Amino acid sequence: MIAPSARTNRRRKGLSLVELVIAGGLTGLLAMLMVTAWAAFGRPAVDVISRSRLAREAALAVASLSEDFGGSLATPDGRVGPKALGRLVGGMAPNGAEIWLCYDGGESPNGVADWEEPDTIVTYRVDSGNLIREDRSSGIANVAARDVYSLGATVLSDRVRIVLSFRHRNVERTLTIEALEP
Amino acid sequence: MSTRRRSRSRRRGFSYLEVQAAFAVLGIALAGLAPIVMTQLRLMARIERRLPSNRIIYLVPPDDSWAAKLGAAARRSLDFPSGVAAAEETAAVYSVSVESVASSAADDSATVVVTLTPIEAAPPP
Repeated sequence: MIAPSARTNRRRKGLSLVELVIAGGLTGLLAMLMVTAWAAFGRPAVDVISRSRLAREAALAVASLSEDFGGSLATPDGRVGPKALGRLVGGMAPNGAEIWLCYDGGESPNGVADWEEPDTIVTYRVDSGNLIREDRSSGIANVAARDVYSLGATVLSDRVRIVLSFRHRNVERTLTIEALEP
Repeated sequence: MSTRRRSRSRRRGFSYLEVQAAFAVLGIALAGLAPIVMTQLRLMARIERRLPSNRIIYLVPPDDSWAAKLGAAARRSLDFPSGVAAAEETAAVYSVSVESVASSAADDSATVVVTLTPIEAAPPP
């Protein structure tokens, strides 16, 4: 003969309602803790990858612009010749989406932006998410910064205002730069 | 085969207690990562402050033209450089003279031909 308690144990299948309620409550608590922990630490930790990448690209863009707005461009032979040779003499912003810089050139630099040979023209534009710097005289173009989705430029009375917008994944960053005339 | 061994062999998956314990261990491991994440965020904020988004970054060329010639880059500044006037939009001003006016009653339209002559801005006093 089987004892009553043993029979009860063998017949039992599944969980009681109280057990289910407790299990559900504990699961809900765990889920809430997980969501809170993700919002507090997980999301910022994921975003910091994009933020650091944008900070690096912004620093690269500013460094490139700082070089070109320094006031003088090296000639293919180096920084030789008179002081006026390679001097920044003009800037313009065609369509407000590009930057064109003119550097004086020739045997006797005339101090005027001619926008043609022998002056050297350097341009900045955005192409496929890259900030492209191009030396139009030599035809050499290089990527100054990546993750750039827009470039806005306005020529003011004595400076050029540049608005650069960066984006990587869902993180965006916009820099406003004012480059003063030399 | 004993009943106990048969019962074990039939068992599949984890008990709820085991899942709870696993989550607790995972939580402790994640909590250990928290200081690293916080340090990373602090450093990131410090890097971003060097090129802030909410301020204008001024690129100030060197005063000495020889320094520029020799390759000195424009100085980066978050403060408005002293001795520089506030920026003004370069807006061209034109003198407008009307050349001809033609109106059409058929389509209720008018055509005006004008000539624009740029006016040189007066030098500041």
